[in-house]
Amino acid sequence: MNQLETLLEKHFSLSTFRKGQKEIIQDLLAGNDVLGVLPTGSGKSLCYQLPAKLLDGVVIVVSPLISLMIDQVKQLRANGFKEVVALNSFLDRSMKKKVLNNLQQYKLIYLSPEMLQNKFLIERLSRLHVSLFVVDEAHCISQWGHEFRPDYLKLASTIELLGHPTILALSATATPDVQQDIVKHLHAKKMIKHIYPMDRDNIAFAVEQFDHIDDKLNYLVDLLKNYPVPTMIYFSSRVWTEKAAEVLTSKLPHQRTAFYHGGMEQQDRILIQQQFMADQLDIVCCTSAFGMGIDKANIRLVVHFHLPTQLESFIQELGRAGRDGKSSVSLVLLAPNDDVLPKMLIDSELPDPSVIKPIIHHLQNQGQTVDNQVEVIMEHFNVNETQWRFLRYQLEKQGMIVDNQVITNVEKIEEVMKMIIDLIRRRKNYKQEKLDELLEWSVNKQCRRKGLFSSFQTTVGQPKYACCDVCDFRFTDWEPPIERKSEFSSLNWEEQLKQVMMQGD
Amino acid sequence: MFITVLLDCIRKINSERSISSIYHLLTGKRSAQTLQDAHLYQLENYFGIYKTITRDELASVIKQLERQKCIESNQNAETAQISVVGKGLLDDASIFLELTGFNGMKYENISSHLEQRLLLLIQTITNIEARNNRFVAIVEDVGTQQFVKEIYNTMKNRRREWLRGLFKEIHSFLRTIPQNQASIFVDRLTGYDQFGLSKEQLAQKYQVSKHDIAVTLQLIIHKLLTFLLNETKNSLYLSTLIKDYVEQTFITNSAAETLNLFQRGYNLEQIMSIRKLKESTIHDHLVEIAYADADFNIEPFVTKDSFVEIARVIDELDSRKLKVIKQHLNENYSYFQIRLVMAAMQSHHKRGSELS
Repeated sequence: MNQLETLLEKHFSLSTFRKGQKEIIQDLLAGNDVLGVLPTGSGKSLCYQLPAKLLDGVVIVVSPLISLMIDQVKQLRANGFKEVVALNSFLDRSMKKKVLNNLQQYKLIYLSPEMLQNKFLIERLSRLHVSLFVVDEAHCISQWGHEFRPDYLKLASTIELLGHPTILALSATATPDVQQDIVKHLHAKKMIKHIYPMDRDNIAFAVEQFDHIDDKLNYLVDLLKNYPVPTMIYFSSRVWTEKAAEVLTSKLPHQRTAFYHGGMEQQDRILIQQQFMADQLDIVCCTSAFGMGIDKANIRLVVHFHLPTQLESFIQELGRAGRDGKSSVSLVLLAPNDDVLPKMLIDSELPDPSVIKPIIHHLQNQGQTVDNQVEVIMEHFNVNETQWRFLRYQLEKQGMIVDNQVITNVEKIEEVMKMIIDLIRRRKNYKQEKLDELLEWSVNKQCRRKGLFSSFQTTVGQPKYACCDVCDFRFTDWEPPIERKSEFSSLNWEEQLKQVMMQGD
Repeated sequence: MFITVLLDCIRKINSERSISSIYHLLTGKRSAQTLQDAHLYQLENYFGIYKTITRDELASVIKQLERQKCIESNQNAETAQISVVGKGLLDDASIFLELTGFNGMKYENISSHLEQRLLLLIQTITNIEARNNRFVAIVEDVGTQQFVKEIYNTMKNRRREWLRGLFKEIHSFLRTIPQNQASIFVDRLTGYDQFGLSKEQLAQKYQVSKHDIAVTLQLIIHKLLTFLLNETKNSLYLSTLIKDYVEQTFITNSAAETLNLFQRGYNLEQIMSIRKLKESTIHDHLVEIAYADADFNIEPFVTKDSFVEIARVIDELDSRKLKVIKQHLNENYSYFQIRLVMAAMQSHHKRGSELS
């Protein structure tokens, strides 16, 4: 056994590295900047967690996913790695102060991007010996990435202030264009790229066309009757998840189906998610809200009843299938007018240009702080939260809102308006193009695997089972492992209580 | 179940308050108005029993009741009145029995704590007993986690004993409630490798609405609380989950401040100037206090003779419409005095029924 493996065993009780981890860690320990593009669920975080144990000094991780960050800290602490902390806007003032005054005691510090604006924090960090600077979700630095984060543009100057530590940029979804952007914006010309293909050799692709949306449901019922396997079905609306779950439950009485969406109470969401993880549920009808942190190994089938708004999200969602490497399928169901919902979603993300001027006027006339007017604006101008956040960010960036107050410079209004309207138009076009790309892929009659990954990598690997419905895949040939399910419980409450509370007779 | 609760509210309010007052009642809004209404219309039991319902959800159930001709609402759908059909539903004795056991005003501040703590404690002990130290807590609230952790630390070497004790107590409690409620309660529990059902799943399994499940779960917890408070000696394990419970006196902070000054001997005018509040606000406080405390002395504001006279008219008219009552008393008394008498009558009545 090699030395790194011994250390892995010692610190994380794992005996082997997953694909890519060892190569990346070796480069980092040698002091090289690294760009790592690894598919979701491949264990990216170990690439900096192990070095944090091995290197002198502190490892800083910038990540926009606050809940994931908090989860990781919890997990590390539970496993005995205590010198770790997450700094984000959710931390209360006194805690933050305490942490800031004791920064030297940590080996691993997670930061949310907005913390980079905190000059005091950066000053404190610059006094430490930072051995590794990690940029998680690095595609956010690129305007072309699907989740552009303006705060990420400040990363290069932060790295400079910290005395140029070794850089690790990580992403699960970075096209070559985006990869170039990452290298450029981080000022890391010598970055070594570790790009691992995102196509998974155990997932086959299929797309089915229907004349009517109701046919999709009938098709699913028949399919799932033949293949009672752990299944996720993605929808783009909450109402649809409930409706489909109802139909599937009544038509498939021997499979356990539930729905999941962001409108449910938190506790019920946890219960459904955990039931699915524990194989207590077979089918989950869900929105994209389901999935964060889902690491269930035996999901055999991921169905897209509706398509998301871009390839990147689609790849991320279907990638939840077959983490155990066994034969799995990604299935897309199409019907006429399927593009209407995603188009509406795109529209709802950006404000209607015609409301900008009235909103600015309203703010000027009220003469109050902007915070005070948020509810009135959202209600009166029919602006949703996402739209308002966009608008406010832009108005602050253009100097129209300063210190929570709207400025009253009349000439500037026209100029700013023009810029914002132009920006909205460009964003919409860009998003529309991303959507078109996905829609085109779904109707194109060429190899699905090649089509899906061509913008991320030049070749695709040899599929382990089947490729796609254009090449060779037929459901009739599919032989997924079918696990025997536990019987439906028919215990009365007294027996069941005994069982739950471990009271054998 | 939820529909019966709503019908009961609507019947008692009798169009004298808006539908949104029912929303405030169910969600347990801590305002003087909501507290007073709860007392006035004898709806204390339902206070805060459904905190997660939304206005839209309530409106849609109200509409459904209207379609079924159980209620009639006025033009703007702001108020509603029970219909003959609705009354018929409520008059069924079994349905009335179904509603017995709610005690919102008394338990509102502890019931969700008890529920969450119990769920998490059972999940914790059973998982660790099964040697699974890494499980995803089904309760995310940090305060609850802290509370359960503290209890766990005191008993971690006596896990089996605790499991046995909790089981016995839960079992004997569940035998005191209807079978289907016991069954719902057990389905909601999470143990090792077996997760409880969500509200939607329970609704589907028992063929009722999600709202029915929400209020039924509350009802069961209220019954459990009554069980624990009455049988503390026979429920030593479960009782640790409510060791921090103190019965709340239900008045707003502002009213409490007024009461404090009043008890120190300040009169109405002095309290007004000290607190820089209007007379009507102080009046509201005093009425609120009279509802909450049967021993509150209202004689400085209403003499004994006046009390008797006002009370007689209120009884005779069997209405809570202040204007009507005032007219029948030939405008001899102020609204404040009438409200005060109503409050005192009710809190005496309530204490009487608790003693009996």
